[in-house]
Amino acid sequence: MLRNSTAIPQIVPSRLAPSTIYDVEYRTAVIALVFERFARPVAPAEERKISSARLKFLQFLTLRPWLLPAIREWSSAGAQQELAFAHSIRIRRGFLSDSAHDDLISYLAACGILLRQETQIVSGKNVRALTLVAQAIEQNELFESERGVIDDLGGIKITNEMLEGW
Amino acid sequence: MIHLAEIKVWGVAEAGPFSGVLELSPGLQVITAHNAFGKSLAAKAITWCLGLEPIFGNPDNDPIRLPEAVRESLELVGHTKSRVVSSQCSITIRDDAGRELEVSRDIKGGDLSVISIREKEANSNIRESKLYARKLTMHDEHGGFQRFLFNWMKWPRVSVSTYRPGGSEIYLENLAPLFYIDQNEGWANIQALQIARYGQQEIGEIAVEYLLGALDAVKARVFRLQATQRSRDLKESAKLIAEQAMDAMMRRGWRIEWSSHGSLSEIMARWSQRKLRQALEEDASMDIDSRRKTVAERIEKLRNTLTNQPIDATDTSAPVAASQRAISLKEQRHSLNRDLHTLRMQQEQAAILVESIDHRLLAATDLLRLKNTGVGRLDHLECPTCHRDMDATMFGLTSQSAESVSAHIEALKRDRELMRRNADSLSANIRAMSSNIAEIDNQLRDADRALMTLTSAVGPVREQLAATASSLTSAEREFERLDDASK
Repeated sequence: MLRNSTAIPQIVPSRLAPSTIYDVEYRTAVIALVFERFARPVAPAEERKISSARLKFLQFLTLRPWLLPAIREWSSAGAQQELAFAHSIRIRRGFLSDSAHDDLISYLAACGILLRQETQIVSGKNVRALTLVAQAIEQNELFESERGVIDDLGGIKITNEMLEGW
Repeated sequence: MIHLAEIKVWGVAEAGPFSGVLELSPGLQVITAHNAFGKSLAAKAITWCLGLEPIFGNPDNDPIRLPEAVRESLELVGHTKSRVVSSQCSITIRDDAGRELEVSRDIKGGDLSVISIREKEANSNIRESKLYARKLTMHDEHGGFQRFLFNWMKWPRVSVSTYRPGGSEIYLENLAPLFYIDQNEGWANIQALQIARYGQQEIGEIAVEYLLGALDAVKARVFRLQATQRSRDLKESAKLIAEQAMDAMMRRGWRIEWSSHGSLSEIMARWSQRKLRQALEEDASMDIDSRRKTVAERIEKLRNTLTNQPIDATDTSAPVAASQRAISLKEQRHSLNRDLHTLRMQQEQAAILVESIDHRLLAATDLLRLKNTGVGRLDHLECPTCHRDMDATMFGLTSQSAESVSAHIEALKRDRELMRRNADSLSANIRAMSSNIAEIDNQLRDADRALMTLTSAVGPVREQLAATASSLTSAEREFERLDDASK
C-alpha cells in the first residue's frame, strides 16, 4: 500500500537512538552508587557484600524512581498478601527479567571488581575502581535523581518476599 | 599582550625543602621531560593558582587534582618516600607594559581558601594583598580574586542571563575550559567543563565570543536570551489568565476556547480579535444579554400563568413529567461521573509517564556529561589473570556514543512535549466534565425540589400550580446566575 502511495519515507535519527538505560556506563554508575550505599562490610577483612537479589532489585528501582510510591505501599503491606499482590506483579516481572543487570555483573566479575559468591555479590580485588566511580559521581553532582532514590530506599524495608520470584 | 612567565612549586617535606621552577617565554611553549618530572604538576598549578578547581568537578578549595607529590609524600634524592609538611605554588604573568603579577596559593599546610597577590607596576612599585580564591570571588569588591584579576587584565565584565531569577556574569571558570586539553580525553569541550550550577544560558558560545573580543555579539546574544526569557514569562502569565477565564466560564457550564497556545504575538492577535463575551457567544452559543432577556420573559410568563391563566383540572401529567426529568438527570450524572473517573485515571497515568520521561531526561543529560568529561567512568579495565583488555561487548553490553545519547535526549524532549500536551488536554476535559456535572447537579436539585413540591400537592390543580411555581423559582435562580456572570 505504501509502495503505491505518494508517501515519502523520512528517517528521524533521534528515533533510532537506543534508550540510555541500556548504556553500560550508566548501569555501572548506578551499580557503583547502590553497592557503595548498601553493601555491608564483612569482618575482619575489608570485603563488602550484598545479596545478589537485593542488588538487582535496588538498582532496578534506582533506574525507575516513579516506582517508589508502589514500593513503599508494597513494603508496608507486609503480611497482607492480597494488598501486596496488587503492587508486586509488575515490579517482579520487570526486575527478574532485567538481563542487562546480569550481564553487567558478569562483566564486573570478569574484571575482578565484584565477585559472585553463592547468593551474594562480594567486592573483588579491583573494587576500588567502583568506589572511585561512586565518589566522582557524588563530587560532580551527577545522577541527582538516582542518588535521591537511593536515599529514599534506605528508609524502605525490602523484605525477602519482595525479592522472591514466583 | 600578556604572557605566563613563570610557574613555581615549592614546599617542605620531612626529608627537607623541595622546589621547582619553570620559566616561560612569550609565544608557544613545548615542554618535554621524563615521567614524574612535574609537567602535569606545572599545568595543574596554573588552574589551582587561578582558583579553577570547580571546572574539574572538585569542591572549592580542594587540591585533590594536584599530584600526591605535593599533597602527601614525595621521593627526594637519597630518601625514600618523605611526607609533605607544607607546599605552595605560584604563577607569574607579565604584560608588554612591564607590569607583573605573581599569584600564589597554598596547597598543603596553610589557608587554602586564600590567594596571595604580588603586583609589580611598570615603575617597579610593589603591592601585596591576600584575596579569597572562591568565596563570592567576582562580587567581593575588596577580597574577591576574580574581580581583582579581571581589573588587572583589563577584561570587561559582561552580564549574562541565567535559567534562574537573578543575573550572572562571565567568570574565569567559563573562559578557562577553552584552554584545557587533557592527556587522556584530548580536547575538552568548552561545554563539558562548564559548571551547571551557575545556570548561565548558552555560556559555551558566549565564552568563545568573549575570548575572540566579539563583545557586541555577546551583548546581542544576551539581549536575545533575555527577550526570550521575558517572552516565556509573559506566556506563562497568559496561560494563567487563560486558565482562570476558562475555569470561570466552565463553572457555569460554558465551554469557551480562550487558549494561550502558540507564540506571544499569536496569543495577542487572537485575544485582541474578540472579547471574552464574543468568545462565549461563538464557542458556547452563550449570549448573556439575550439569555437574560429570554429568562426575564419566561419569568414574566410563568408569573402570569401562576396568577391569571386558567388551569385544566383534567391534566394529570405534571408529577410524571417531574419524576421522569429527575430520573433522566440522575442517569446523565451517573454517566458523566463514570467518564470523569476514566479521565482522572488517564490523567494519573499521564502524570506518571511525564515524571518517568523527566527522570530519563535528567539521567540522559548527566550521562552525556559523563561521556564528554569522563567523570564517573571506570578506568581502563583488564582481565585480572591474563591482563588483556576487557571488552564490555563480549558480555552483551553496549557503550553508547555521545551523539547517540544526544539524539536520545532530543527524542525524550519531544516525547515529554507530546505527553504534556496530552496531560493539558486531559485537564481541560476534566474541567469541562466537572462543570457539566455541576450544571447537571444544579438542574437535579431544581428537579428534586419540584418533585417534592408536587408530591406534597393533592389534586391535578394544585400539582399544576406547584409545577409552575417550581419552574418559576428555577428560572429566577438562573436569572441571578446570569446577572452575576454579566458583572
